[in-house]
Amino acid sequence: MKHIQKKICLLGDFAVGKTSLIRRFVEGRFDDRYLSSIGVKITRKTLERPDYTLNMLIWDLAGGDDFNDTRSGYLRGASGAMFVCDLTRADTLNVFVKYVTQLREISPDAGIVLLANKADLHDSRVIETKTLQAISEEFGVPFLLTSAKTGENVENAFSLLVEVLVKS
Amino acid sequence: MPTVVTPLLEARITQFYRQIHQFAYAQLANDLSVVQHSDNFPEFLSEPSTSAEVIGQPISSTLWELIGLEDVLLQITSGERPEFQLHQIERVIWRDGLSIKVYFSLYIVPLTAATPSAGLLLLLEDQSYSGIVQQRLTQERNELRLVRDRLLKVNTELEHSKRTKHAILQIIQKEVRGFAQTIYDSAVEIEHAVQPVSNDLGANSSHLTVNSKKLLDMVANIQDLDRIYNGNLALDISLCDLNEVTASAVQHLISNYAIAKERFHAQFSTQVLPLLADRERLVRAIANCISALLQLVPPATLLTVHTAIDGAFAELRIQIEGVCFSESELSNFMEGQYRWAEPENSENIEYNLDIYLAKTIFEAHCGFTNMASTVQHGTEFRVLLPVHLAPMAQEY
Repeated sequence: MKHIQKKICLLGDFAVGKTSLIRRFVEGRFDDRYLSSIGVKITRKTLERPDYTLNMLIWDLAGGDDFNDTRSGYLRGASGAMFVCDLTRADTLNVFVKYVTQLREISPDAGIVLLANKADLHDSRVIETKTLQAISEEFGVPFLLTSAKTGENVENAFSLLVEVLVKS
Repeated sequence: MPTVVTPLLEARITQFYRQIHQFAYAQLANDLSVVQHSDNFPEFLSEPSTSAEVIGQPISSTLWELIGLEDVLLQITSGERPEFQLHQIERVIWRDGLSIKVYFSLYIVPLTAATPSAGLLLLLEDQSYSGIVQQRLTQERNELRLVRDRLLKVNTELEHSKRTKHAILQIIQKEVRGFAQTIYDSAVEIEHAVQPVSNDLGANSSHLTVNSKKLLDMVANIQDLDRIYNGNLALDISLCDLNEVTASAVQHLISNYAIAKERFHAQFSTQVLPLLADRERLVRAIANCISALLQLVPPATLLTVHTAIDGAFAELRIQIEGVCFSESELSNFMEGQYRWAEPENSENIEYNLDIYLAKTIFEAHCGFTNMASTVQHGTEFRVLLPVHLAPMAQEY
């Protein structure tokens, strides 16, 4: 059995639900309270697959700060990243290019998945699927609509990134 | 004065610095395995580990932050890179038997500056105090940003609603009123023309007249409602009599709304009830009020309309026997509620803005309104309007 270890970073603006997605994926629970992250918190999750065991080190990076050397340090050695935006806040998708550009400068081979979170908030949604599709096609990154609250597509999102990483 | 710090002073400063700063350290070999470490080093590790489990192991196996960074560390041992730092690492650790959240920074430098290949020094500095302060500041800043974004969004929606409202009101004022008036005038002519004929055409023309008149009243009501919301309702004041105004309102409903006169029982005061009021608006307000109340009760329900003098006020009472409403329904009638859901989806009575509008018109005349419901007495809508002190000469 092959053992693989990968560093994965969650990127995106503040309050888009990065920490909640990790909590849902790793602990299977959701907390409605918003608690801002600062710096970085690392969580480990092991995925057993028929032909390999993947040890995922998930880096939960604080969102919303300016791009600087500190973030560069966090991104070094990343095999993959999930860029998370909030479907109810259009500006959280606008920073996608900045984050991805910075990630690709530091870790050019990193696989990326675009997650549009808070899919449960149908009435407040402002980002349309065709917008996500356009970005997905332009940057060659797959995308998924997720909800950390309901768990919708959370497992699928991490599995999707794993597929991208294992292929690479 | 000594110009060189003595080893004794240096040792004392180090000792003191360790008292005020919580930090741990480890020495790494140039293959990145742990050679030795401070006593408290294991408490900062990603998972609880003993010293025996740490010594000789690759540092990244116990400090996950360094996974994927091996090439960066090797650059330091080869002298290509002076150091590496990571800040604000959050970790839940066990200290003195308690689980606590800490923030720490990680520094990696050559063990000796002259020979980087001799290995590395790893220093972990606990910065929980500043980390917690920064977390709180970040939390507050982010929450403020979210509130600001929501306010901007609401502001945009308000602007949009304002523009839409303005356009609708312009259309109502400039177009709908004209169309409604034309339809009404034509309907009256048709009704007169077919009057002798008591057939479907007569009934339809009458129906058209009633509804076009209702539409005209509705246009006037909408315009008044907007003036009320904007605080610029201007009354056209003249001397009038509440008895005459009320009788006109009832007649308006009978003539123009095709409401059977048998549904009204009038008990008017024998005294003149002089008011300084906008007569046209008052007639419409009373008609609105009665019309709205009629919509709330079963078809055959009788309404008693009283007028009387009550001290310095002229009183109008509209009494509905045997019909009661809950407190919340009464409150909704008076608060300008409009049904939000379609009738089939709404559990509420289908009420409209007429009572609210009438109440506001009465208040604009310095009057008071009250609506009460009891099982014994049914429902009563009461209006008090100030009597004009110079009375009219005439008595009924």
